[in-house]
Amino acid sequence: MNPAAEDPRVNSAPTGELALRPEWRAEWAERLAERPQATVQAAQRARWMVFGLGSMRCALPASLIVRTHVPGPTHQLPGRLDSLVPALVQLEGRLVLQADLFKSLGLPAVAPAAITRVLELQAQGSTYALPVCDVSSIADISVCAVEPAPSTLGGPWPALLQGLWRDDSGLVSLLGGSQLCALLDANLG
Amino acid sequence: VCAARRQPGVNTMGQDLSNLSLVSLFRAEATVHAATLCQGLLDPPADPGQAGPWFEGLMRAGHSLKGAARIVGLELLVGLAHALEDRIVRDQQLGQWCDGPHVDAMLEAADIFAEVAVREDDEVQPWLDQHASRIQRLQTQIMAHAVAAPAPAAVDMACNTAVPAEAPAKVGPAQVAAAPAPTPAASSSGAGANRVVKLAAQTLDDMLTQAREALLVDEAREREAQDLQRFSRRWRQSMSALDQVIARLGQRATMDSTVQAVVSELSDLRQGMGVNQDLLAALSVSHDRHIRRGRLAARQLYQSVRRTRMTTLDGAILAWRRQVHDLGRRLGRPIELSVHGQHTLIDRDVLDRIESPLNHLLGNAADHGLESVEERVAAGKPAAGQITVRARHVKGQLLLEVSDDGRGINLDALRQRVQERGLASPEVAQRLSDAELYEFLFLPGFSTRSAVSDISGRGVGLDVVRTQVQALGGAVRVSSSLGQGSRFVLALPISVSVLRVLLVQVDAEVYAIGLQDIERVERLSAADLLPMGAQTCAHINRAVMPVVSLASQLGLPAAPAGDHFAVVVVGEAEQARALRVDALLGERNIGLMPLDPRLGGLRHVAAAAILDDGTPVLVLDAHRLGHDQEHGLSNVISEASPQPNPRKRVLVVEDSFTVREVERQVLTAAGYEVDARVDGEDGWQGLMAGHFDLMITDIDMPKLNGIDLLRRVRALPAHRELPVMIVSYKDSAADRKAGLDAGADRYFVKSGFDDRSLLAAVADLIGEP
Repeated sequence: MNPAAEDPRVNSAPTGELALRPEWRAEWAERLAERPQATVQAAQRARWMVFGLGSMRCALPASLIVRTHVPGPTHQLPGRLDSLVPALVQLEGRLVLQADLFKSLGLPAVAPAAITRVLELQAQGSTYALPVCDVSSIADISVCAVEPAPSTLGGPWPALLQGLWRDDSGLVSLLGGSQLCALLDANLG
Repeated sequence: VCAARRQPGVNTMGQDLSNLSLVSLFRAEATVHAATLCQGLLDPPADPGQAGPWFEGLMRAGHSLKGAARIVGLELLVGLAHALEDRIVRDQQLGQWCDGPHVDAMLEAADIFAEVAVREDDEVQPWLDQHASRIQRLQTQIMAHAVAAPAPAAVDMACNTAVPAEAPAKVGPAQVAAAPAPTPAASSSGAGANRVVKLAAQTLDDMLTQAREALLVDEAREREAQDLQRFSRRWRQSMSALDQVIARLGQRATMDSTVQAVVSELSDLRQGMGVNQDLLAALSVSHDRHIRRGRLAARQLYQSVRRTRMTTLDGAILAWRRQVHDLGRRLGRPIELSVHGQHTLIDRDVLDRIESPLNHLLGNAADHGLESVEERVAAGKPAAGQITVRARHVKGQLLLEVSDDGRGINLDALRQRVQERGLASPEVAQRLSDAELYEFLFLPGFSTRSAVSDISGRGVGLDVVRTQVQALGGAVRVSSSLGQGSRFVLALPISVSVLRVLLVQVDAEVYAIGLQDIERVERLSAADLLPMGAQTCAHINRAVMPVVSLASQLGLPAAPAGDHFAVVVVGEAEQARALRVDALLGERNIGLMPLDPRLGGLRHVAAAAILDDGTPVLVLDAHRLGHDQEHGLSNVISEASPQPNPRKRVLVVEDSFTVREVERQVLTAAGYEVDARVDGEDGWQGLMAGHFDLMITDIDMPKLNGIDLLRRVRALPAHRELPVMIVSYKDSAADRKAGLDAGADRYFVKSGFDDRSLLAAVADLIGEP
């Protein structure tokens, strides 16, 4: 199914032209002003960093992952232990806010030993360290290969999930980096 | 000067001048000569024998300014510089230098050049046009005094006074005790040949981060070296084991050809291992050597970058002397300033940020502290008032003391003023200790003087001094002796980036507390604890104080209390409290890193740092811990009685300890349950953490002011209807309108309320308790 046929906010025309009905132009103009990156990305191929969260596989836009690290020493933030951003982590001499991606996505926590990498996510002026189980690949994904996210998901998923992609190992949830930062920023504020 | 001659295009300050315009060159030169004039005019030599070089230095500065102004065609400044030069030459010829109005005029002339120097090139001429009449007036004043000056027979440098024109009594030379007295000539060439470059603070911070990373990499290398040594040891052990196998095989009486072949192969293998062992040993030695060099380089780099942030107080002294000179003139009283410890190191950022508090304290000392000449003479004191600035490092912090030998603080008058302002009932006022009374001096708008002068009472009070010092992580202490004088001590971090701390362990994490906030450290046993109602106290250093778990203050699970435990005492006198910690880990210098601003609401945490082993550590805001007793006690109480309390709950948000305490006591005595918070951000956290029937908030508070707090509260649907009362010293119609517009239900001016009216207003809003 081509989602663009039903939803003018999704662009699937391979030429990059927007399939708009005249009455939606004003709304589109606003949308473009708000999220130009998402629109541009939707029109072309994008590189995604695929990583594991327990039994689940997710991906974030590779352009927003500034570095990957081995896990560094952390300090829990008092009063924030149950929040989505519960700690500070030292990465290469810097202190970075560490987010709990498992909790953010409503996934069960894993044993500390299962965490082997920390992704440094940077978007909209925010930087977060995201501990993950492993980084398996950087995938070059065409928008045509992206399956739309189910509309029946609850919790934070509708806001975060940009779509689904399938490779030889199974399904990968494509997460919006900016949306994730916005969620974490809101949790901090 | 010599350096500039050796290197064309580079001035004495090391600036590359090749790309500067003529006006820019003039401005650069004016900066130097204006400072020379100012310093020289404020510091005439007490010894007449030194008068010659001193006059010549001043004259040279004036002459250079005149020449430079002429080159760029700034005729107004040519005339002013000429007047300066002419005046100095005439005074030298007359052989007398008397401090007086003409010195003020000359200082103001120096200011003119300094002000021009900070303009952009294209702003200079318009600025001069705008100030033409002022410049011409100064020129006339300088020349007129020169004409009127008498002609004594000999140089008399001792008539330099700080006495106003209308009372020209000799009271002795102005002294700047510990300050060096560089001649103008020396200071104009004092910049030396060291190149000066400007760096953005962020660049320095980035360099510091990179240097810190180099240190951390060095730590990792050291761990690798230890692994290498362990591997080398195991290798040797494997070789020994192989030697034993070969030896045992060789001891066999008979060996067939197969065994012989095995022994031969093993021997070859052993030989290869030996060669590898030698290589490994050499590699280990080389690695160690490189590690040592790397460690030294990394540490030197880190120290060097840190040192670039440091300076001494020398650069600030001239401005202080000028301020005291001007204050003395305006107040009509002679004032002497002594500065001790001008070579004390201080972070440039700290120095910049204490300028305003220090100026305020100097103004206070001159205006409030020192008596008139008549009063001083009647009291048997020297006519000239003495203000002393003393700087020194103590326990890893900078103590900056401003004291005077004036009238001191009259505690009875202060107590009376507190009552008159309705800040405490007569009963409460009588019970206030000296330390508590001094606290009122730091309230916004509080003054013991009814008259407001142009020096003090200008709307910038001691509360701002305290706020600014606390923003640096410092503290202000005051002491006074009636008739003897007052002393204000600013306890400041030596650096905003380096702090001497005590590391403590709480809930398996490491926290740091600045040593400047710690009164003492004790080890207590369960037998030392004194149950007092719902709370626990201990007798420490002849004082009874509450003992509170630091874990509970931080909202962390408290470790089971053992028979013996360590406490850290923070806060002074009545505000002291002992914080129970899991372990004391020792003192350390740490490089402070600001917290992510999005963590501004993190309760009790002021900054972060990285320890040498790479571990992050949070630096606690001990000021809050020390001033937040009511919250800590309420924690204890709530732990002891978890039943829901049906009483109406009031959230008091007030940064003044005294006002907060008065409000809490009045409301608690009336039957309300009170949670008191120390600033807007703390109040916000409190509101988020519990249910309240009313919020009472001040306006002027650190971190988040009351208006912004109120706007934040009203933005939440759940709190749109929460009754809010503002209690503030701000009493203008505009202030009241701003408060009510932000959503307050009631606006109370602090000076106008008493216990009864406060309770009536609270009952009106939320009913009886």
